Amino acid sequence: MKFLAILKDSLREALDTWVFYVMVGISLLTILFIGHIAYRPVSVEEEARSNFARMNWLLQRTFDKAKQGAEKGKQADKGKKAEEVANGPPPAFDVEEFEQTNPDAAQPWQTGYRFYLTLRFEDEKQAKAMRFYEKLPLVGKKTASGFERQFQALFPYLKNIKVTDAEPKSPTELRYLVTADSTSRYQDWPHYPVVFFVVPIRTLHISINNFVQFWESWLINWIGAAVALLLSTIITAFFIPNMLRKGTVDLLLAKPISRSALLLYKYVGGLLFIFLNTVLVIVGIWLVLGLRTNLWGVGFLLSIPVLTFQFAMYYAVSTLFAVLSRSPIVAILMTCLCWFVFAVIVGQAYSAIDKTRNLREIMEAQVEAGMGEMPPDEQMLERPFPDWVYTTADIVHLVTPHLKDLDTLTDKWILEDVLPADSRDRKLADKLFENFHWTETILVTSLYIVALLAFSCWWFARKDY
Amino acid sequence: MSVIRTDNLIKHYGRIEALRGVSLTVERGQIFGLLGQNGAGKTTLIKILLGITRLTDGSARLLDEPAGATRVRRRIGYLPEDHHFPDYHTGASLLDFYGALLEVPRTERRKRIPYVLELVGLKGRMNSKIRTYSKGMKQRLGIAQAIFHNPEIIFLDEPTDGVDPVGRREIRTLMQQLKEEGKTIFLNSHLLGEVELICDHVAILQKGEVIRVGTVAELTQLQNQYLVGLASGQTFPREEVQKQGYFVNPSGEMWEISLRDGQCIDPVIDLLRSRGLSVRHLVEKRQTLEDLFVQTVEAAEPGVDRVTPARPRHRRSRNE
Repeated sequence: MKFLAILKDSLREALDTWVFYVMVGISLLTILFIGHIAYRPVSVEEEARSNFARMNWLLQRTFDKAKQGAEKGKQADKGKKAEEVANGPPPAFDVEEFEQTNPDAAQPWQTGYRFYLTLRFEDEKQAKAMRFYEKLPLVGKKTASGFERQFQALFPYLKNIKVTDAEPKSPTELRYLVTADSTSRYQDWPHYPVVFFVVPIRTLHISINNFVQFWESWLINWIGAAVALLLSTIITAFFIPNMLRKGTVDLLLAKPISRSALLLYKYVGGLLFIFLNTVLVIVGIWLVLGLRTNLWGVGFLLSIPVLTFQFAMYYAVSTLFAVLSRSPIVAILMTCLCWFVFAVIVGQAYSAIDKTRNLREIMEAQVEAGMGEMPPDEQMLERPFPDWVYTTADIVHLVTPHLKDLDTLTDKWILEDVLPADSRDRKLADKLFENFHWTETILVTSLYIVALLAFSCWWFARKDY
Repeated sequence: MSVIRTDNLIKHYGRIEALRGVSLTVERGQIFGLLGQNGAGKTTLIKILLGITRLTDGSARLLDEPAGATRVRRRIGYLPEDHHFPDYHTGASLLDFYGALLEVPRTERRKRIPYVLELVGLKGRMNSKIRTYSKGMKQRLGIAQAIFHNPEIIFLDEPTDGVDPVGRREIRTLMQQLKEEGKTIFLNSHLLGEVELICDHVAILQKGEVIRVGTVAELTQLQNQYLVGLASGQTFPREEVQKQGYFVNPSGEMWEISLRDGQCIDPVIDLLRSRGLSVRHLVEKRQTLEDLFVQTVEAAEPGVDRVTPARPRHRRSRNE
């Protein structure tokens, strides 16, 4: 009964502050904002035409530059060739006879595709200067295998892309047959967002997976969590100093409740309040994203206990300094300092040092995921620090609260939700999370929470009011 | 049966000695007034009895349990001086909150909230936020929360502070009513007139020490001073009385007779009767509690709010 009474009192106190309404308002606006965005699948035909329209534009620019080059260097052999082709308009790519192998498919990822890619020249003279075009970007060697590689890069979500030579319909064209199989993974299919219900952003083609990862991991787990934790810290930092005000604390201490219980109930009250708000935000976003994307992975929901646990650590710091100083300002500042020292300085520094342990494996995974190239110098893949740096970093990391790791834990769960186990991004993520031990993270941080609360209770119990 | 008992109670705040061997006993059903200047240690004494502050030495017991024990706190009510109620509560929700902490069942709370608030004249504003209350209303609410759970002992620290004269009278009546119900009231107040009106027993605390304790009647009685009044038109035989060794001074239409040690008033009465005079007024002279308080504290040591440095830890025993 006493516990519930204090919880109710904490809730009443929170409801009395404007910051609470700001927090709930931000939460609801975020849910509404994320929920209002619809995702439309990109059509392969549109995607192909848009890609080749860009290629044509690129060709036009290259062609214009070639003309300028021809004027400058007419005596040169290269200049002569350029002069030959630069008189007319540039050649143009086109997509023709586009068809789906399964005309009844309801969704674009449920069918294969077949179409012709043509490259048309102005006249035979231009066509004869074919060698010139070998130097043009994106065309390269005008062979089917060259185009096949380009298609695989442009359409990574299509399976078994084959490009074969086809019989040209005129001497001024090159013709290729492009075929691709369907893909069963809807979440890998690129989509474009429609904002404000009617405004499509067609230039933004991202897979549903990546959209979900963006909202859940970056916006909510990083930015949202930081804002929420800061606001929560501000709101709850007033609970205990208010309770300890002269004239208020006397009334509570005269009641038949032990001081430790009083402080811990108040602490749990603050924590529960944040838990409920986190549930509101996370479940709200999970629901609207699920309804919009039809992805219902539970990894994101697991961030509720993690965020609450993370806040439990910050609130334990706030509680200790509230008991010591009876000042909400001191409690807020010390909590922010704790975040800065442990999450930003220690956490980021350890993360950076830790990654250099297996630099080679990470770089290899990054290259495999198409993110960069291996450095030419082998020495750059060796450990950059002496052993004592790693040992010191390990010790400091072990004995300090693992606040940054809690973010990593949520990230890991979200990525496991949205990325298939065999995807390149997932393999890279797995490599980055290889050294992460969540049991250690929870255990060490829990010990800190217990120690901070125990000290707070001891101080509160022995103090005269 | 004593419900409050302190024995040689000592409290130090660092170098400051707030209580210096306070020994008090309060019996069940009494209204006990604790008087003292600012900084005399009155609030410290109450806080020690309630477990809000720890004692340094000596002992304090409430209802035959160590002071501050959780199970005792269930049986006491407390209105602190300078109380500050969380202003996000309404009067009713505050009583509900405190009632829950005092383990009053919910159904009982629902019944008692309007009853108690009506008792202190706040029922009409029970659902208004406390931040909209005047000082007097907050004081009434404080009394309401102190008596809400039907406690056996009620500690009231300046209960009429900020309350208008009508409200004060109502509070006095309420205290009287509580006394009739068998409650013990421990009252701290600067309003000596009120204390005199309502308290059975009074203690005066000066610089952490009890310097006077007793019933109001005992403390205000002026020993060996009487006021004598004769029937209209009769002359008081002043010189004859003085010849018998009494001090005689006029006091309005009456005469104030001071006795030496060992003297009694009877010879004076006999003398007046033998002269055929008619005694219409004979009363043992008393002083007000305020007079007593001022005289007592000034006699003890004038000046207030001065820090009394704590004696060194290795000080001699008080019995030495």
